[in-house]
Amino acid sequence: MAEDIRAGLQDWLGEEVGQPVAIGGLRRTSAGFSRENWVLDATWNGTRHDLIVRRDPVGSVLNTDRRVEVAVLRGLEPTAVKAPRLRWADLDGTRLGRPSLVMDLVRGTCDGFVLNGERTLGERVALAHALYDQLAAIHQVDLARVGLPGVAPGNAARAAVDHWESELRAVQLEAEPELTFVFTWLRANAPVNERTALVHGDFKPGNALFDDDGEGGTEWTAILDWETAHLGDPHEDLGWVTNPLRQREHRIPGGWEPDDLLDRWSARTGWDVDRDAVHWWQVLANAKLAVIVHTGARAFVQGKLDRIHQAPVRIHQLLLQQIGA
Amino acid sequence: MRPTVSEQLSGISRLLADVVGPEVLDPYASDVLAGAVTTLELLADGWARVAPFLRWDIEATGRVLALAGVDRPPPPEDPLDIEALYECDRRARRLLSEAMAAVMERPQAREAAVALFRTRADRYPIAARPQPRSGGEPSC
Repeated sequence: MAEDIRAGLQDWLGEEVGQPVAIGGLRRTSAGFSRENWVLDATWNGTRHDLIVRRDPVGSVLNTDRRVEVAVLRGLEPTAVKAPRLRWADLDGTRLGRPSLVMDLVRGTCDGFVLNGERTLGERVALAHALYDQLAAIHQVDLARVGLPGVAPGNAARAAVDHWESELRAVQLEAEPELTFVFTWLRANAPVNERTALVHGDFKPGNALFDDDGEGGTEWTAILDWETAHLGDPHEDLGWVTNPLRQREHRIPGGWEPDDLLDRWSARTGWDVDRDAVHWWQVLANAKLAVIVHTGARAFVQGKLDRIHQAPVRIHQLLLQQIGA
Repeated sequence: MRPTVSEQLSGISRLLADVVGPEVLDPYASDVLAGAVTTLELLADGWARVAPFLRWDIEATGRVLALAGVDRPPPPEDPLDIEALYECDRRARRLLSEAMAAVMERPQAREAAVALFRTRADRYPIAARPQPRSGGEPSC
């Protein structure tokens, strides 16, 4: 397969830059559950460029639209948000067999648990501040810049329930009454959003890169994985990053609690936090995670995914607890 | 019946982890292999509880259906026929999902459904274990 990718890239990139391109160091990385990631170096004009190719997999844990991701990445280029630079996109899959994006490989390390790693508490809290300030920056992006399809005013929560319940019906291998129960609760308690913003959809330390800043400190170099970005209620991302299930990734005990995150986000954006809405979006976040697990299970059974997903019974337990059932 | 199914599954898991694993140098293949080994360990640990679990689930789901005014599916003729148990369980859970509006309207049925969901999650025989995770390769 690597040789097919190499040949396809040589033709594709050669046409894009108008001269022969030498491909080196091509390998598939183990990172990424929803996409195939290939890193490589490409040389043209005597200059080496470190690139990453993100190709749609045969099967995935997420069904997303590459056109949306391209629109978001293009729209973010001139903003304060540290998104990777998109070089070229092949949306119909003619170049590498499946839709693919070629982006600059950003320097840095990916560690989903860096906020609870070896650094001092002060260093980790500083990292958290800088990371979640990026989330506030995402929410304040001018929506006209990204040109995504909108949602009816105030209707973001109901639209999310419609979307994820529909996804569940499409992918479930058998009926899931627990999730039917939860979606019924979500529909009955959906908040009305005051504002619409760009929502990342999967914001977490594991979808970001950090590196030395050259002055003895650490800086975030990129926010990654924009495939689930969409217009919606910014409380959706706030619910995602304060979800109790993911606290080992987002929370620093004694230094960066959910309230610290929400207060800082509010100060950065100038917008109030609706705590009830955050709770509702936490429930939606776990319902969404359960649907993602079912998507992976279906893809595995169909022979399209190389990872096995068991029934998300622990998520079911948490959901029941969250809705006070 | 030795080696038992559990012993064989555990043994295959060991072979893959100790013999095959060190020879797999490709990071993606190594990652996939680690996932397969973990699943074999789960199966070795839980497969023997699958049939009792299905029999319990069919019966418990049937009780909730009755409270919601829905006829429960008949149990399989052979209680040791695992495929028949799977099919009966699928039917019962589909009926419960379809009857959710009625369940929500009847407090007794709602309470019983929640109790079923909680107990079912506790008894589920092949549940994924939380994996310790550390840093990984950058995806971009």
